[in-house]
Amino acid sequence: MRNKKLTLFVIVLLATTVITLPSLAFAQKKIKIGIYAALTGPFASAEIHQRDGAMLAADWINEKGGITIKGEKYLLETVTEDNKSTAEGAKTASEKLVNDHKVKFIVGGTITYINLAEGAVTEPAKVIRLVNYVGLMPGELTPETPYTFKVGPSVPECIGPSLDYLVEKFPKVKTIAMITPQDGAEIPLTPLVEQAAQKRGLKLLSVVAWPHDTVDFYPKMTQLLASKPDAVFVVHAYEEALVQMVKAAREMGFKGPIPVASYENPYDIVDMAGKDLTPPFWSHGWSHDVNDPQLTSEMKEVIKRAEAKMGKFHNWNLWGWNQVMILAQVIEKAQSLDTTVIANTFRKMDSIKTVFGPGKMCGEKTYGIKNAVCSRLALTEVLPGGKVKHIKWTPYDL
Amino acid sequence: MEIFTQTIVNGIVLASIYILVALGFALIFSVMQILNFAHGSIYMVGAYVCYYLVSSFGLPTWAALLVSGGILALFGVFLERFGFRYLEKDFNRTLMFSLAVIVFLQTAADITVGAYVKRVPSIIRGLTTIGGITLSKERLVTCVVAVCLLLLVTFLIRKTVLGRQMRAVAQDRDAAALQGINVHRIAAIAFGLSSVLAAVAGGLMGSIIALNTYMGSAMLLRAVTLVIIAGMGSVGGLFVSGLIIGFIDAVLPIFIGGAGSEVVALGFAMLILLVRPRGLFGQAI
Repeated sequence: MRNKKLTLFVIVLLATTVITLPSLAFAQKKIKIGIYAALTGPFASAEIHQRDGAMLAADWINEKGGITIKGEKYLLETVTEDNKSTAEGAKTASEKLVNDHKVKFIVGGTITYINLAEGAVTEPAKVIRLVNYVGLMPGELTPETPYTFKVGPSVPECIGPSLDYLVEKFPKVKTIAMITPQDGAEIPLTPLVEQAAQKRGLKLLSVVAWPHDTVDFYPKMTQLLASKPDAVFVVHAYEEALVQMVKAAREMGFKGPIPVASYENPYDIVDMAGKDLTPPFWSHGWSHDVNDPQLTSEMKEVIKRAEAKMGKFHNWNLWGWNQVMILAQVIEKAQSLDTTVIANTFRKMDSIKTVFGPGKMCGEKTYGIKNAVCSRLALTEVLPGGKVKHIKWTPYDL
Repeated sequence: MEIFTQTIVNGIVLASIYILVALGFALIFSVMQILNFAHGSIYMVGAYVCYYLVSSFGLPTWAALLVSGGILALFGVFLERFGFRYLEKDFNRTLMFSLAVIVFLQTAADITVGAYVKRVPSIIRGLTTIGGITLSKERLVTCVVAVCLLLLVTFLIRKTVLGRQMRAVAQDRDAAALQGINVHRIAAIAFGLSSVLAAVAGGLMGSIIALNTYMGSAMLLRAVTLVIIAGMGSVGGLFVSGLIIGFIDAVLPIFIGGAGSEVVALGFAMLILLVRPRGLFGQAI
């Protein structure tokens, strides 16, 4: 009887050991990446997709074996906090990520005042933060923010290429009117547009700023079109607003080109504003056509994975993916998890692969610190009949 | 001339939508003495329900407007029957309850349907030229539908037995009950009717603007402003205040930047509160 009990005990002990030993022996080391995104509030309709893109990229990297640091493999683990589309929410989300989740790396960030609130938490904590967008507000990206890196193209980079295409395709256009959100960024953006227009022989006739809670764009478009511009230049928008602007302009009889210096999804605009009303229109959003040879293999990978997992690809999936893809390269290059070492390595990298194609470090001219990744901008046009077509890539420098 | 006419049409469109929403808000306050701040969220949910009825069930937009009105009417009755009815004697609790309903509906919408930009397909698309002036057919139809609905509801309130019962409850709840009016039934009908108005307004506005889950907040602010300016118990007053605010929103942004029109509208409402608390057309309290 006693032997039986002893035998049973040994069997249970052995079984437990057999089950748990492999998982202990091969316990995978993990790198936690914080994602701050607006999951609620006005920017949720865009930033949820940025989060999804970041998570898809983490899965993609993990499937390929993760990141290797000094011979050891690390898998990526993501943790998301909702910035609630507000500065207060952004501060709280960043504090949770930094203090509670103890993350050393954060991705996200597309709205100027939210970036500022997040930076106030992450910089003192020496947390590496990858943002997509910088609106040129003081303090967003400066030599005093050495742990903040801008990895996506912002609106200022789109202004020149948008106007270049306008002059190229519509040589008779001589005047433009600018419409932009009233979020503080309109102050530095207006002189940029004015200079870029002058350089190309265009005249900026009027500037109309719209508050984020604008219900109806008819009055704003009335104000804009009163200056009788040849082209309506949309400088930064989000899709809900852009749809209304395009509809209002066309319904008020404006037939000229509408270039958009931003990344809004042209497919959504065609869907909602109508294929007849939208063109001539272009933005720096991306084609969704996986057969388009101009798309990078990573872009095609994002589109396929997003469609498989979420049922639908969204432009902002690319932004989230791009951030994690770049972060993984930088950590691997640094061969360290020390954020100061990683930040220094990042600034010295000659070439970086981005989801949009080859990239390099830049930013000294514009921000006074080499904390930006410059790659290339897409230009996507809505053709007559509503077909969306990738026109070209334009490299940019900062 | 074209800009002037378009601005007039736009002012009337905005005014008609504002009045639809404000009328529902005022109706609940009159009948139940409740400030239902969830009214804006019902407007938002109505817009999304309308969108999904068209996109997922293939209903034509006009039918989706009717069905979404019906669905939200049931929701309104449900809210009254299982929520507000138990709290009606306590102002603070009803206020907290309506705020909780906002958070619930807003978050539920954010989580379930808020991820993609959507727009309710127009009942009619394209442009029309009247007297040499180009106008959006969609805006004209929105205006006509909203005005017809407003006239219908006004007729119901002023000329029918049900309307008289509602006004009786609004004037003196206890006296109405003593006259044999079932005040709970009237309150439920008022909630249902007000939700229909909000839902239809949401569906109509959802074809003009793109849907978003916070669209109800701005509309609620407009509804409250209209009611403050008009005063309680004045349907005609709501029409006038709706036109005032509609035209402020349609005209002022042409001349002043930013949120100037909101400042003017709210400033006007504050002035009314200070110098004529019962509103321009309200009854003395």
